[in-house]
Amino acid sequence: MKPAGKKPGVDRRGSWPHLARVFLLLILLGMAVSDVNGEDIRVVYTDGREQEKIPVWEVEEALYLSVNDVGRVFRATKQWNSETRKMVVRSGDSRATLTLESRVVLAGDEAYQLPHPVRMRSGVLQVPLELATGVLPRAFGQSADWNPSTGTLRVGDVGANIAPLRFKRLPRGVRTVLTLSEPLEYAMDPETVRGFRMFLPGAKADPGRLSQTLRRGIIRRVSATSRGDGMEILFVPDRSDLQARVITLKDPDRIVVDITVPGDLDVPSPPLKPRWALSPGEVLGRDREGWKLELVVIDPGHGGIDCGARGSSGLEEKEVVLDVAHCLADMLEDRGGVEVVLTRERDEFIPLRQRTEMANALDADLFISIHCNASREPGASGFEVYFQSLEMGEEEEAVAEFENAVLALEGETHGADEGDLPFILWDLAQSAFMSESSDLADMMQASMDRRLSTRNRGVKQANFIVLRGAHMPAVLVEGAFATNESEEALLKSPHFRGLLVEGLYDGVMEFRARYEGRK
Amino acid sequence: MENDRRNVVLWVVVALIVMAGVAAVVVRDRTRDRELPRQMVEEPVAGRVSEGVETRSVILFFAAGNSDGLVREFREIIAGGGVAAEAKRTVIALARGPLANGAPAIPRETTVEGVFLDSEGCLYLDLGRELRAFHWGGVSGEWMTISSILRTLGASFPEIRSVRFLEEGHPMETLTGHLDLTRRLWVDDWR
Ligand SMILES: [Zn+2]
Repeated sequence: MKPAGKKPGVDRRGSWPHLARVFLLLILLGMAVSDVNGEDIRVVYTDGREQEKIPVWEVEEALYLSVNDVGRVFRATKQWNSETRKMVVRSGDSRATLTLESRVVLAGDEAYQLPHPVRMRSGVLQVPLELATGVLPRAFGQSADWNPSTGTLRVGDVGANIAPLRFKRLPRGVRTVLTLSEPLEYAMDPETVRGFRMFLPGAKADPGRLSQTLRRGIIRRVSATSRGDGMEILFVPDRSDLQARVITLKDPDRIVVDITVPGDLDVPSPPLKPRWALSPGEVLGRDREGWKLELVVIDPGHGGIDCGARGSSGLEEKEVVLDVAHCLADMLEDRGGVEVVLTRERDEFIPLRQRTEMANALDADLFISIHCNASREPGASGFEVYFQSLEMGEEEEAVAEFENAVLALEGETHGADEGDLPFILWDLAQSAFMSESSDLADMMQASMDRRLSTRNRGVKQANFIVLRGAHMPAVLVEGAFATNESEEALLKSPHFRGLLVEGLYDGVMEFRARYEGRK
Repeated sequence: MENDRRNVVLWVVVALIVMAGVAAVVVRDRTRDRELPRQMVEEPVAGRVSEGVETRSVILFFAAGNSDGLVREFREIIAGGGVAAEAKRTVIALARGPLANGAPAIPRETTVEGVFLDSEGCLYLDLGRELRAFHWGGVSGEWMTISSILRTLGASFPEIRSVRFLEEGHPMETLTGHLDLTRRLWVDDWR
């Protein structure tokens, strides 16, 4: 080695290892700073919002949240100014100003100090957790409670175990729903001069948040007060002859209070007593011999201008279901000895309500609506049978307990208008056959499963316009997905259609075997 | 000589570390950018700070893809104008589809003609005929569309308790010929 070259070499030796250390440090620091550790924190609300999980960035000792998530938690808006590098977070008239790379938060006359500076990552402002647990609640006059051991942030009325009350109008009264964050007992005292008094031991909430003056209905106001170790809720009506009924529901825990004008909630029978006004007993056992499967109405879905679902290679739901309906009709008539009427014989559009009206007018014993499914997702596949739900999400036992309220519920959106009465009756029609419809759906799903090798999606419930008002056991069948390439090919093949029809036929026959002769 | 050899080793180590570091940063940024929204015409970029615009974070529910479930995505919309106006922007964002995971549950062509929130917390959502015209149909498809709208509005706006669907000012009977939309749908029933 030449001595001449040694000097720069010395310099290099002296400086590069140092530089390497700096690089290494920078890289390690960079990784530590920007790595998302994948953890979430849980946010629980007391304003009735669903709880949610929001991501956390762990930077050495500090926990950071996205300012977008924090804003949503407090229902605040945000405005960024790149010149001043400041973000104004606003909730109503309160505002807090954050500055990039600073710990100071200005809000009103106060200046708060965060333990770590506000930072920016990939164009998103990140703020220390303490902004959400301490600074913003104070600045916005809201409360928040952070539990580090469970990673849970409770926001709003933090001590509360009752969310703000929700009300639904019933034709003869008002339904109040108390959503609880834990199960609570209640005691209802109906005999008070001022109204209905409900005491909930262990209940905690800001009385002001629970109290409400109602604009409509027979309840003038609901007022809550903290009393002893619980809360008292007083329902103040504008008349004295009311009755109250209370039930409790689970998942989430709820107490439902219906206050109604007393009287027979059963709808008065019209003089001509059409089929939909008969009781289910009268329908299912109208002969001395009991129920008999004599007439089935099959409804091929869609038709005419309404093509229904479409496959990628041009298959149309209206065409497939008409063919399947014809084949099922032939099989039921030839093999089963049952009379069948189709709601449409050809490619034409029949208004949806007219289809069940037809079945009612014909005094049919079963109503089967045949469809093909569709999804935007081409991978979706399988077969399913639906029956009508009363009110989606309502627990079955509650429905059983609350038959009269169901009638009320179904008609609630129509208010008290006289003209809505037939619709209420109409809704009630199918709900009276809920258990039979459910049985029929189960049997058809099982018999299809024995014939088909496609995916069994199970029996489901939904609120259908096509089943609404049917005064007989009624189901809606989805044979396969027109939007799934391989199922579209199946739907085109006579072999698959044949298997589908066999499956449907078997289900109907099983239902007949179980119900025929029953009184 | 001993020193020189050590220098070479050190250089190689440093070079490797730097390369690994750069690669890590690049890969990370690419992953990030994929998840991050692209610039949109009427809305601020989801998530990123937007100069001078007041925004609000909402939760959008999209189809989960190969299952019947829904996936949520946080999105920034322009704030202001009250709950109905913000709900309208939220439904428009929903129609534009997800920026991260999932699939749209509403046809992209869907337009929102008007929104109105009554005193009982019922949102009258008046949609253009494109919703039905461009819909893919089926009970599953219909269910997904309705539940995506109901869950989105319910999660972001506690003031909205129910939704009534209208089409160009007229009550909507059904979307694709199955579900009953003639009555208001309660947000609580779709949770
Ligand atoms: Zn259909």
